[in-house]
Amino acid sequence: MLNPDPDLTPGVVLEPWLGGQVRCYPDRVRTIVEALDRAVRQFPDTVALETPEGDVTYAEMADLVEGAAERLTEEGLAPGDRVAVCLRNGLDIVVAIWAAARAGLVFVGLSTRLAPTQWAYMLSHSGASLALGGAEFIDGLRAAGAEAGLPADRVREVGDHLTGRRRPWKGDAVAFPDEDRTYGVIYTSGTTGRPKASQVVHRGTMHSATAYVRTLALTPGDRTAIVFPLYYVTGHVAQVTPMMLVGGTSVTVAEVVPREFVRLIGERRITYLMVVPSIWPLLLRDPAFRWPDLAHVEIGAFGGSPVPISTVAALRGRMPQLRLYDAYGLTETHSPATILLDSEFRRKPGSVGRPLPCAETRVVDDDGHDVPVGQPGELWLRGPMVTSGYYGDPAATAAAITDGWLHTGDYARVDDEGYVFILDRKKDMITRGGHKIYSVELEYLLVSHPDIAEAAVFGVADRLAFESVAAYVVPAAGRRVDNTDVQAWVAGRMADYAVPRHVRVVEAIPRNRTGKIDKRALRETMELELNSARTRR
Amino acid sequence: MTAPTQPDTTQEDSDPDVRLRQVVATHLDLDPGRLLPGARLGDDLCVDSLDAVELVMILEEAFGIALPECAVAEVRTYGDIATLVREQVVGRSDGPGA
Repeated sequence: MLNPDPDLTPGVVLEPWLGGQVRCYPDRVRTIVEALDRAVRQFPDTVALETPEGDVTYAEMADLVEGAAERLTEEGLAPGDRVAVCLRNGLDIVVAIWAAARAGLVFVGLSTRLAPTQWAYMLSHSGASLALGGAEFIDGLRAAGAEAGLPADRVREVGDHLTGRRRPWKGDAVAFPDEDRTYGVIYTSGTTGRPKASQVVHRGTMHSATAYVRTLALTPGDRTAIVFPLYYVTGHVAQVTPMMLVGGTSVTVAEVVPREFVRLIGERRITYLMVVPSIWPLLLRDPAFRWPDLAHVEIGAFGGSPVPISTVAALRGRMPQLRLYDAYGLTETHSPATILLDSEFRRKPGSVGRPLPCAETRVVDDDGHDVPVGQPGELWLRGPMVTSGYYGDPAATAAAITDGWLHTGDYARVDDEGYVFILDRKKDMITRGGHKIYSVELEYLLVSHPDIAEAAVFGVADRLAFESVAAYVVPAAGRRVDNTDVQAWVAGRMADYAVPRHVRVVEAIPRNRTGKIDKRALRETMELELNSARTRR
Repeated sequence: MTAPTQPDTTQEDSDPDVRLRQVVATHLDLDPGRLLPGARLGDDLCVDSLDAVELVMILEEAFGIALPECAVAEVRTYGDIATLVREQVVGRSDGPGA
């Protein structure tokens, strides 16, 4: 269903993007560089970042960014070049993102959870000419660099590369980048066995950040704790940049240890929490996570997977002052496309809300035709938040985006009031915690094992993490393989959260009458078996 | 189809070690034979951070205990889990009103 006529949506104007006309906020700040410049002028002495490495004001952050941009340029990097970073949340990675944008470079976010061979693919695919890693990742990053053919001296421990030099912020004396420029690439799991590099564009980030400021009603006094890894979109699009727009403060958290995190929320007077749904039950386990001790926490946002109604009820009971928001979006939409507001949870349970003012939705059938209102189909999204494409992969871009519409791969229905309900994932994606795992990518890896002939990977329900990874595998003729072999094969090659928890070695994978693997049936069978075992326990 | 060997539920459930092995093997869906004292949670049993948190919750429910977070943070092996649970179960039975 197309949204109402754009003229009926206040505060947006139509602008060209991806070959079509999309709804844009005319009064937006155009780039993340301009957002920093504006913050330097409006709130120079406000603390921008509280990190393990120390606190910095917006004026200090800008000077660090200017210094880092200068140093990256001295490394021989020219506009458009890629610089890869493998860093935990902290000062370095924030400076890296903004310095890359300031120098016209492209930051390549490497997940710290991945295996070196996965980093190697990303270094090679992106053509990164410099890679910087934290001390704890540098050995693996060097191995990845060698595998990718990157000269050894172009893989560095981050040290003081990004924060060792300060230069006075030059403001607009250095030309700001065009808002349609790509300043980052973030790898998402791919349906073809290889991750795809979604391009991060100023236009997308700034529309999403603006949407967060307005929807969540963020104010200058707000303070947010960033637990989302900053090498993904959410941390810098939903938190650092909105805080920059309002003059708030971002507190970086390198790792979530529930009790320590609750203590940090209190000590740092956090007002805005943005977490994956699996974090809430952990916080609720701590008796200290309660009103009035944490009365300053006013905003509780989440996304990535549904939150059980029981968790929402528990939050309402323990933290009645919280305004809850459920955001739906993808890496390819620079975070949110729809948001369910606090007042809508009771009326529209299970919905991910309505499209943001700058977003449009369609629900289509397999031929790309709109289905009647309320009927299920694939959700398509259009707006300035949609990525300009996948880096170095025009075929994947053409398949995913047509006439400005992003094919999300998610099955959904939209009711007659415009509320979106996600029903299933067409792309066969598994969500574990906040992490996405494409079953096809894992299946490719499994069948690359010399003793495995066939594999089917799917998600099964998990009470905390939303889903666990499950796999059926068929041994190659005359070969043997067991659960331990399967897990060990994946463990060294993909992130730990992608290792199948539930493995079944079978002679043949069950198929439906048309010969296709019916993963829904596999999932139901596995869940029945697991529930039966747990009941016996 | 080869599923992990189901724990022997005919054994005396009141033995904390036996029961612990049952609970952990069921939750992690693996053969109890892999639960050796020196088995490392991450490297050998492929337990990620979410598995670990969920395992703590399940052990607390199964044994009616509260595992101290500071002690949980130090757990590296299955043997560490067994020791921690045993200490808490014994502490509970020794405590007031036990």
